[in-house]
Amino acid sequence: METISFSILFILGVSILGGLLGASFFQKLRVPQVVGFIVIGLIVGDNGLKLIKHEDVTALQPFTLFALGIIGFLVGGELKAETFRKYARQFFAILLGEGLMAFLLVGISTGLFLYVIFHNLSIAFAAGIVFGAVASATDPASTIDVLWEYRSLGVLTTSITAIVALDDALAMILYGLATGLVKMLAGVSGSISKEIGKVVLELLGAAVMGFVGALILRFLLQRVRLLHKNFAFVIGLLLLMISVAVYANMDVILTSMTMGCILVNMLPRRSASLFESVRSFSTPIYVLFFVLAGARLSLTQMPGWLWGVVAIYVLGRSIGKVLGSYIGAKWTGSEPVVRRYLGLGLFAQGGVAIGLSIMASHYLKDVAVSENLMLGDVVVFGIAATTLIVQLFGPPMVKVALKLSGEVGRNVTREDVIDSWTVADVMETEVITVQEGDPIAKAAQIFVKHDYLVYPVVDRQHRMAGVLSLHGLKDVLSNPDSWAWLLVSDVMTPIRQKVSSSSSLKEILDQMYELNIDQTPVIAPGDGDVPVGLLDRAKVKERIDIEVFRRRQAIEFKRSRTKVGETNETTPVA
Amino acid sequence: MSNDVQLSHVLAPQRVMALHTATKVEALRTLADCLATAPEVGDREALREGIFYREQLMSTGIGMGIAVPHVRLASVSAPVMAAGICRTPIADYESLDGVPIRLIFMIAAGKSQHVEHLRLLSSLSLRIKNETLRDALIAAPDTPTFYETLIRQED
Repeated sequence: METISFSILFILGVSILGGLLGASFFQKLRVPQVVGFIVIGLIVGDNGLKLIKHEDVTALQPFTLFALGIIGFLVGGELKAETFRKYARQFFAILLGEGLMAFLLVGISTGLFLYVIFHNLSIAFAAGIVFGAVASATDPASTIDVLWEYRSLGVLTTSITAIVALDDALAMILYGLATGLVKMLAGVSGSISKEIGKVVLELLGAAVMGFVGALILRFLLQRVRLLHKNFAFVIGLLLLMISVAVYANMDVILTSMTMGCILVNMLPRRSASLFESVRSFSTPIYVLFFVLAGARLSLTQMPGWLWGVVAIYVLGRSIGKVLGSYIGAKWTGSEPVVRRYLGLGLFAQGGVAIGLSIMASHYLKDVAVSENLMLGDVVVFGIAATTLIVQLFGPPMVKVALKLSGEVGRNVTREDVIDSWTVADVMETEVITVQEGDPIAKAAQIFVKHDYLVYPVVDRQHRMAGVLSLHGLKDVLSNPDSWAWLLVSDVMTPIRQKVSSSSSLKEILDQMYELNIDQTPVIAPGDGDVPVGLLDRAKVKERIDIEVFRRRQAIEFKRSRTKVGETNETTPVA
Repeated sequence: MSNDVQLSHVLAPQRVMALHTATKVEALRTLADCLATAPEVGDREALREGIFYREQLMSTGIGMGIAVPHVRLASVSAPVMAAGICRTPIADYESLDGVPIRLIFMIAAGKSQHVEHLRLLSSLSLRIKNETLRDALIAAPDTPTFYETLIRQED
């Protein structure tokens, strides 16, 4: 037992640290970090140093599923209804275009290639149709990772997010069709309608489960305001959902994605900090997920001709994605950046493709291609190799698409602003204090004159002794006689949290959220407890929104200036 | 205040005492020592300091011969009260109406027991406005009678 724990912990440590090291190396070469994770996986895996063996990766399968669940949940959180309403027609057309075009081009070309080699129509057809179906899927994890890494924002980013989130479902439907056909052709009992029915049931089941998960989370978020508790709950719920999805043979990503999507649309504001927490937590999980994905790829036993299939597949899929999304985008009148560059952002291929290939191999394990090679192995090897190749050039191509569209670095978020600010940057600096020895009648006037709900109470040395709130005064309203002899110090509440002007804004806002406080006095840093301002959550929110807008405008302005500069440089002087 | 406080929950018979001093300082000190015997009070010195600090801000002589010195302290676990019958009226208390003090109700509560503290103050002051009760308390020949008279009002 100890050996197993040691070995697993060793793998986890090596994977995360090695992955981060690889990522920083590739980032220096201006290549997305995810490529670094995968390359490190290849180096430490079966193809390289063999530090992580195939059985280790198998032992860590539950972890991979957990990572997929987290990724799905976060991707779902990006899918806001307003975006869908605005772009629904475009997304649907592009999805069908890129998915079906990749399916057709890969299916036909690999089928023809295999027919030329083996002169067996049913094998060529079966392999072609399975390769085609798998080719339609795009890997959301590595693609989204690039979008986040380069802080992109804009219509292309939105389109890429939506398409990679949705085309797994399309891939599964095509796969359902494909395996139904293949089973009939390969002589295995089965029917297309039965297979499609099964797939539709699986997809619907996943969506229903995710919906139920989102309802549970909504119930919780509306009642519990402690962020760390909600975070623990969402992780627990995700683990539960993933296990049920795996048990019921449903899609893990779709389940958690539905959960994230429904939640973000039901409680857009309240869920924001929860998504942020999950995202912060996801970094080591992402690293580990991709390192293990790299380590899992075993390519040493492939026959030579299979590399031909791999080349055709990669070429056909890439052309299919670019051409299909161009046709879909053009047909629906999408913006030029979407038409031109969306296809470049859809090359990555990951877990779903490998998963589908493994499932397909199960059905095709008895179909012999040559003396000691089964069609099932061809599919598994082929998809593993193509996944490796497209995972190495797919994420960099996402970056290229983002750069060409000018959407890199535009995503200034509220979190960026909050992280960069201290309390002093956003507090109200007009300090209205109340003396602890003031009679209530006098102090009550302050609520008439000013708009705040709380005021710092100071002692004779002007140190903050407590807080006078409207809520606190409420307790003496019913006994007006007492107003003559009660003082502010009698009705003030002690300071629940000392907020210094030098504190990090994020930390204080989280505390205020958890304690359900709307306004809190701010003291100067040091021991003096001297009030210097007041933090008002509503005004803070307003200022953050303005700052996000201002920073985005500044980026836009800089971009437009650069463009004008470039135009001027190329315009000949008359 | 809707939540009327049961005085019997905060005042024990042994914390009612007859005061034979004519000065405010002495009366407050004696009564604070008496209140400090309650298990809810963790720090006698802090109690004394708190009571006198509050008096510095403004006198707690609320008029009609009544004083309600009170304090909220971190070292107090629950609202608690002591009462003193001034056998010699205390003229230097600087009460709101200038009338010498005949009855002192000293109250202590926890630092964060803001609501309970105010409820107790309010409940007591409303009760003591009743002249009949006030006179009966001042005239009480001994502390058990005082206690019985005050608590009986709640029934």
